[in-house]
Amino acid sequence: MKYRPTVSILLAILETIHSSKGANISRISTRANISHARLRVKLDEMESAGLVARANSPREGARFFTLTDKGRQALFTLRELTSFLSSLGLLPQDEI
Amino acid sequence: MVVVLFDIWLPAIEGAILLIVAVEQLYLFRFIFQGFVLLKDRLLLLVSLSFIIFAAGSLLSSTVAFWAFSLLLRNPLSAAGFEVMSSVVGILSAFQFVGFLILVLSPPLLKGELLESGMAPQLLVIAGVAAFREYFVGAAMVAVAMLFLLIVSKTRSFATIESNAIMIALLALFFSKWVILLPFPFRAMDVISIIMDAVAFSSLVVLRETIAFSMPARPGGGRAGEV
Repeated sequence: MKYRPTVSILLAILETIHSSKGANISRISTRANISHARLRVKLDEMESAGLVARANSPREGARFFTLTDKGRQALFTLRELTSFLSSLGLLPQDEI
Repeated sequence: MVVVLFDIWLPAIEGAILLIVAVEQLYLFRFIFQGFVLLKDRLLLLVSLSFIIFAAGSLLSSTVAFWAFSLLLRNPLSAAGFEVMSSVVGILSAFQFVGFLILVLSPPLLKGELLESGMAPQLLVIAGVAAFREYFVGAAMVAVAMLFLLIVSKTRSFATIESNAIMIALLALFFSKWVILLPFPFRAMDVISIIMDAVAFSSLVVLRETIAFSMPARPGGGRAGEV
């Protein structure tokens, strides 16, 4: 399996949750192009780091995720970092 | 008299410029390293490592330049002073060589595509050029800068400020190493080389600032890394 930088993966997850104002695992998995198993691990890590929070949605239960304030700040940091790295040719445009 | 004064103050000028370059490199390192602290990504670790190596090289060569200045200030004809002064660009280029090699090789190394990406022949060219012992570091840096230029020019269109900033940075870097290979008195070439290095890293700072300004406003203000 090809290496995909964590920068790209996290940006895709955070962008999906941010643009949808909260999203469930299936939606994030599809939009961010990550397998369910890998996504669950990443979301657990991001929840521990305080970037995302589980929202108790009546329809989705605990599988619905929203961004915390820290997560929103992290999203902006990531956008700048990925843009800088891609300008240096270190991150291909299609991975952003 | 003028020549003697120029010789005495040249290392001080070099040291001051290198100090500014080191500050710029530490600024860029902080930006990337804070991203690494947040994300624990190997690519960010390698890029941070490159920038801290650049900064270490600039700080060390700045210290050496000021040391040469102090020797020449005490004795304008000090052979030791001129010897120390002549090693400034060599030290700087050695650190930059290691830093840029890490920067250039990090994406293919992490992807496991080093051999299939066509970089192996280019690395052989670097090794071949570096074999010219007299100009080891300078020639190797020229080769690495060219390789970097090739990689960036393949992945970018050239219509934005960001693209222009990165091209200026790489061309300045290329020129800064090429100029020390020219058969002219080293003192003049060294200072031109260091000024070009300053242009290169200033362009990277401009690139980073342009990106920050082009992004939508952050909630609650603040800059990248201030999470």
